[in-house]
Amino acid sequence: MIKALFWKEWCEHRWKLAYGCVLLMGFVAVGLRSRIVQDAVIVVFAAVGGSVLMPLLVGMGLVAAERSDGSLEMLLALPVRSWKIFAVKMAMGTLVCVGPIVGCMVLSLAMAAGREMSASRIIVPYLGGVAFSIVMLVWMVAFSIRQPSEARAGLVGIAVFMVWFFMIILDESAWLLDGSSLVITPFGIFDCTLDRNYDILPKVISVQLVIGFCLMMWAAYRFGKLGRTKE
Amino acid sequence: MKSGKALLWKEWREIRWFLVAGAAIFIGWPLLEAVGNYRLGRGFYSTDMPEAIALLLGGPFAILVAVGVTCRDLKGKIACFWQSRPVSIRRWAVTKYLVGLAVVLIVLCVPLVMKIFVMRAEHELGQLSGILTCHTFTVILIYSISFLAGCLIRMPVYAVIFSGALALLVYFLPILAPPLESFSVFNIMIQSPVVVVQLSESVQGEPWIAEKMRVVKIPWADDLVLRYNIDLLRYIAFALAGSFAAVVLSAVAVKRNWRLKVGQKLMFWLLGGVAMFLLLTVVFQLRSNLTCIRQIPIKTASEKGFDVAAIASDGDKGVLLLHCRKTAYAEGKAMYYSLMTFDLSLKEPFGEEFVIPEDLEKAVWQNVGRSKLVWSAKHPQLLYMVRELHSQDKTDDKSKLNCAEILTISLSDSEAVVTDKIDLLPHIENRKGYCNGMCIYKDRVFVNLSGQVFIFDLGADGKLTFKSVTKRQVGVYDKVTRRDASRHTFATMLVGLIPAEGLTTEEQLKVAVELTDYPEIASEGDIIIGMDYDSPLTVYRLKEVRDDVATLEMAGYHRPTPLERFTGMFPTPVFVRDGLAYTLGGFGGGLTVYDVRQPQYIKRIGHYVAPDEMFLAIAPLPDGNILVGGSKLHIVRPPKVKR
Amino acid sequence: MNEPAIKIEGLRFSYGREEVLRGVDLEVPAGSIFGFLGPNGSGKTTTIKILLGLLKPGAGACRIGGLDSQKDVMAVRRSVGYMAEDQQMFGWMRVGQIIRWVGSFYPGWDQKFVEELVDLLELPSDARVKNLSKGQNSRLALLLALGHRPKIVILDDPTLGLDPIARKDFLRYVIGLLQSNGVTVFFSSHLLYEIEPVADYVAILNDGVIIKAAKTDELRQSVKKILLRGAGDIEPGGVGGILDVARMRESIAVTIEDYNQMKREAIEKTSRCAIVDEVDLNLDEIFEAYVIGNRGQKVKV
Repeated sequence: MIKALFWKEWCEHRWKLAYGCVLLMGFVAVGLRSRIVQDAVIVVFAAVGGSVLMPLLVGMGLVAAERSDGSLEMLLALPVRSWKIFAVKMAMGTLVCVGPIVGCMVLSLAMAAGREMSASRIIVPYLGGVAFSIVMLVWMVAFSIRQPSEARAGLVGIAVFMVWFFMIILDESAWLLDGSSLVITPFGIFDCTLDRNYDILPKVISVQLVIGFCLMMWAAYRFGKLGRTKE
Repeated sequence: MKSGKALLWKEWREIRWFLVAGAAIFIGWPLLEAVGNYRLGRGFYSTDMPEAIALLLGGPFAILVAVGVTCRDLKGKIACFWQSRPVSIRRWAVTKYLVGLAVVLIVLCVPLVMKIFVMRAEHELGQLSGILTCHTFTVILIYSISFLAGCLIRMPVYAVIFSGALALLVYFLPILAPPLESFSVFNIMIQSPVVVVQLSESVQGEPWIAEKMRVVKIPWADDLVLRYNIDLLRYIAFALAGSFAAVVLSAVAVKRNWRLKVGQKLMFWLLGGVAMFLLLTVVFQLRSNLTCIRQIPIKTASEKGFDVAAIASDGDKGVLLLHCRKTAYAEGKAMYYSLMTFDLSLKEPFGEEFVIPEDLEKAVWQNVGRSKLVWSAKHPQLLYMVRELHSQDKTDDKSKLNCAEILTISLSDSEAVVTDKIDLLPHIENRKGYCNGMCIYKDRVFVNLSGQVFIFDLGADGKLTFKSVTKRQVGVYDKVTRRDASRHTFATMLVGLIPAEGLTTEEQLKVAVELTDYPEIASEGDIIIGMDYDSPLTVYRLKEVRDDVATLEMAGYHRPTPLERFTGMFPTPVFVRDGLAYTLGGFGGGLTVYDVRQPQYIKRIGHYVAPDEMFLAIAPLPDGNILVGGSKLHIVRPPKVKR
Repeated sequence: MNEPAIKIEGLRFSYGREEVLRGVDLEVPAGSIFGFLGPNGSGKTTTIKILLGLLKPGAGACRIGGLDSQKDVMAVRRSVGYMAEDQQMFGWMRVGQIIRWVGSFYPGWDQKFVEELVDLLELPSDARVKNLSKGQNSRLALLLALGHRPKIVILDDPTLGLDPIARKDFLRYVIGLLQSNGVTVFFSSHLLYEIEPVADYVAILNDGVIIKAAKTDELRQSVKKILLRGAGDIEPGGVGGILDVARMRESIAVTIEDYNQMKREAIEKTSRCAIVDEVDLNLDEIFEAYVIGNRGQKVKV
């Protein structure tokens, strides 16, 4: 049963995995081969860009697309617990988000390790990108689970990102949040991995894990409730 | 024209909210900011907000309006409703197009015209008028393309994505693809394509700009003329032709029910495809980077974290002048300096590090830069530099030389010690000058100080012997820069030669170039390369020599594209070898190589940057490679060229 | 003889590779109410769009009111009233505004008549179109189709989505306004029992061609269902015009067109069965027989 759900999600989202891989890995391949800018610029751009682009692309199609197509009710009417359906969706979404970033990491290591950057200096930004993309996917799905269309879900994702950004700006310019914006928002992950400021890393990880867990519980609950409102 | 009025009425009722929103953003926002500035006493338009909003949001606003006006009437069964009535599709399309365009032009142009009117007394409105003319037509083109996209796709979100991808190509492809450079809105805007100037300034500037300028008299102002760039006219024609074609195609598409069936996948692949295409054109233009054969970290005994500030070399040996800012700041000092010998033929290339005593520090930092440290492989323990001290002259408030010496420094016993000095002050006629350069050539040391050239013989024991001093001719200048644009022609360059025994004209030319202060020119044989941030890389060829003044004619030039400037920031030529000009960019710009063997077709053929590196020093090596100094020494292989 | 209001000859049309109309020939007599029937996807709306010049046919010709529907497009649209299937209009406009807006395109717009229609059809002038009910929406669409007093009115499934009472009301308006004025009504619908009482003529479009076109009464009279009872193989294929053969318990039901005495004897002889009953069919059953009938396959008793 779970296999069947995975197969369905895979058929629906595999083109996004292919798209992410072609776009991001293509960018990395061209950039590292041509060396038009420093390798570090390419690596950071791919890690950060991928970690923002992929969750937006994947997140808006996970639940909202089912709802706009009208297939969500049919899915929830299956003899499977709704939280399992949701978990399968999130697992596949995570795979599709993370796949291109990991692919870029492998490609960067193969093409440029030891050239201008050591292997560890290449791996760390990508690991940060993977972590950021998972967090962003979680937030986006949690807040867009009731959206009736993919476009709206995408707007919710952008809004979440802008709110984080605004918090960082407020914190940096007016110190309103007492520096905690880096911990509450996942931007702290990039602060650690890109600027190599590892002091706050344990705090960032633990806070993000707690927030992510709570958001997933909340989202799974609301996901299951979507079908019952019609009865 | 009852039906025409009906169409107009309907369009107005539908589009008025776009006008309100656009007016609030494009007109209201800058107006609010301007009023605020005025109240704070900063001047009504002390910032560039109207231009910034027009440039950043003009295109997106045009896309939204165009897609909005078309898809509203074409999505679903609405199209069947009005098309089954006797409504002429041509009239429908023209009405929609013109009403939408009027809204876009009003919100885009009104704030710019307002600013031009308020600031009309100021002369520097070239950029603003460039945006008003050039960018407006770009927005018209983008609006027209989006209108066509709306008619073909008929779904608002997908039409916006499709139009966005096309707009990216309109804006950036001409920058990135050199053959399309003249269709780049940015390239034309930065040339101040339309400006009102005084009659006396009607045509000026570098010849490569002047040849494209045309002048039109303004009837009501005798002393003012309108100067425009013919590239602008070509661009406007291109934009209007494209817009017209898009509108015609739109009407045909609606009439014949042509549709572009698109889905989410296609849109995303399209956006991704455009992004990759633009990236590939960047790569095509910038070409590949040079290969670094070897990187040698700078290891000093003091471990302060030094970078290379200057290289004085002879072959693959020499002396490095090192500096360290970070540790110095931490310890309350401006800069630390150090000298270190090197020999690249050895496995461990670095020799001793020499501490610079306090009395030498000022001389050292004055000599940071090209052509101010002299070292010879024949006397590896000796270094030559000029020490000059100035004080303020109370009569005219200008700096006055009160010490000018050429020093011989011994590099032994881990400290740099002055072993000899020659006082130059008695020979100096004008004490208001500076040392502009120093070089060694054929066992002679040349110093350019305060408008005079001092020549010293370098003895077998490394001792300098004063030989002669010549006065450089008044009115002769030895560089051409943008700053000289208003006073000098650029078709030629004049260089005062150094009349020294045994030197050919080309060698005299080389020495004269080496003795310039600003590292903006370099020479090889009978050519000189000149380059500055804004002016192109120009090749001058020796035409004649008269009275020790060489006249060189411009043989060709290469204006860096915006993209080339981006990756080779603030480049200055450092040396020319075998027809390849090597330029070093500040602020992390790296090393850029140009092929100048055919001055009419100068090509950028190589580039080298490294992470966290700011290259300040460079020297050619006898094996053909290049030595570049930053936080490490980089030995870079030059680009391969067909001979 | 009067020229037909609508004349279609050899009409062909394809959506891409799929040929939807494969040589449609049709004549609509002037002043008649003409029912245009066909299953989903048969090409009814496509035919109507070609008549209005909204689509270009691959081959064939259409004349409507004496005008060529491809060459005289604007003239056709000025003289014809059209109501589309599930018609969408500009939702932001008010009823009064959309009436005035549409009217500005018709030189012959009769504003006085329209105002009478507004009262008759009980349309609220100040309401926005997007806030109208389905029934009101349909009545507004009908008003917009009639405001310029056209001689030919084309209604493409006008009662789609309406409840039974709303449908009855609508048809009452249509018939009341048009039947007595000599207006030709070209009426396409799935609800055959609604067309049956009002249509003078019907045509059945199936598989891209007109498989039957006739006066409604004549069609009802000519198509019968014969019930047969007997033993042995029944092979009524020797008789022409059989639309459908079906087993009904111990009887065989044969639906046949152009039924007459000769065909009766032929059936009895061929099948060696007795005819036990002859049943009159309604338009629905006739339509079903023409569209999905099996055309007389061998049936074993």
